Amino acid sequence: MIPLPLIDGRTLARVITYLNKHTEDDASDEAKRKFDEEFLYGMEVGVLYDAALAANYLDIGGLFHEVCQRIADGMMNKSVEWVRKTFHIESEFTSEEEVQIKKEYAWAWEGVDSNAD
Amino acid sequence: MVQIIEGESSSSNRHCRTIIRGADRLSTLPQHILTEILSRLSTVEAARVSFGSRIWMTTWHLLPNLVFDYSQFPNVVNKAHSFVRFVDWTVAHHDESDVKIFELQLGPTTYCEASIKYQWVEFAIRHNVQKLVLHGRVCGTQNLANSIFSCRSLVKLELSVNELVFSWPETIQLPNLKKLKLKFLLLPQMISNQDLFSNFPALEKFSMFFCNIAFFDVLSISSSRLTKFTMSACPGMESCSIRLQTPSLAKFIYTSWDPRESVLQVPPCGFSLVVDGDDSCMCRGSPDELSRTVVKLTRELFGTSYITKGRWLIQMSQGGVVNRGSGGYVTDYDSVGDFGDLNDVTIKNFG
Repeated sequence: MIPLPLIDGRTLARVITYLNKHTEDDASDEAKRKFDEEFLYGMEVGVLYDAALAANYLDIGGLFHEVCQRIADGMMNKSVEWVRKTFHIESEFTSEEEVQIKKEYAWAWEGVDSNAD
Repeated sequence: MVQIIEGESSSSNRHCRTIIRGADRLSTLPQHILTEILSRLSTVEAARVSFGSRIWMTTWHLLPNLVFDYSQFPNVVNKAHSFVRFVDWTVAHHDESDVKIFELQLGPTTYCEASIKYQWVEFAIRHNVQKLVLHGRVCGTQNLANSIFSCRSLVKLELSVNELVFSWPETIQLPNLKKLKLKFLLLPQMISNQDLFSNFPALEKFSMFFCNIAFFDVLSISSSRLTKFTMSACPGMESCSIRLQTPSLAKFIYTSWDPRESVLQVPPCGFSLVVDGDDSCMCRGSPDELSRTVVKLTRELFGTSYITKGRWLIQMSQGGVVNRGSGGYVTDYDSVGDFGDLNDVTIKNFG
């Protein structure tokens, strides 16, 4: 029995599902990609974070990169505010700092998805 | 607190339905995971995320890969000004950690009003850059070459800087450089027996595109590790001899200035292959025949064991007389090419 103090049961179960698929003898690369797509689809942000931590701790390169990519994809082409809300990030900037940043780097608020608010 | 927000990731058609529960988990992730995530975004996207929170901002300041692409920057009013401020800010606030990849893509120069600043290149060099790509116009007259060619950490270097007469650096210290790509450079007049490209001990791939070598009589390259050499559409190449001392060369691609490669013109000059002083391989014919013969010959010759010991000199000659005004045949075979392992040669004829 190997104790894994940093990972909760649910996340570990998910990691094992991933590993089982990826170590199947007759799974083609295509099948693995499809599995990854469905596996990560609809995953909550909190779950993604847990998975990233677990994959990192257990040194599972493939899963780690997939999860990080998934989190990054979720941020692509979204406004600053949307990313904050979605990933529930505390800004920690003062309101003066915020104003300054928005003024100085106004371009960062351009060209994002129109459905992001 | 439970919030449910649904969103769509428009890039790569993946739907990312996100549901948030609980407090911010971000701060529990170790720094290197945050760096991994942020590295997967383009530089502009990553900056956008960083403006959202201090944690991401910290991550931004230690990103190891910085690619500034003018064409990917949002099309705002005063775009060039904003872009320059952005690079300035990034460079000013980066922490002391290494920057592995640093790219400045400020092209095509007809549409990009921003220029590459010397300070930006200096920043990359100070941060032990391994891959440096400079594409665009250079600001001011400072000699970039001296700094770049003393950057010992460089493994890949790509220089594509228009309108710059490239002053060749006084010393070259690039012990780790494996890949060198030069585009659009105007190589300066040099003393003809100087071996410009023989100071890169680790060089494996070297290519020159559209570099003006009109001042060159002879382009000399000696490198024990070079496996691939490409020279394409360089003005002045028709009057320049190439000497290769490259025992590991496996691929040599030499293509013409003439963009209409499928239509061969009658050449004013042709190729002669001189093997160990024996010029019986010299051949003339129609351009088609000539280029076919040259390629066939080189393949045949490379296929024989004779060649592994043989010495080569590839010369451009006009009507059988080696040009450069010497008025006669070259008798000096001391610096000749060594093609021990060459197995693929593409030589296209030109007019």
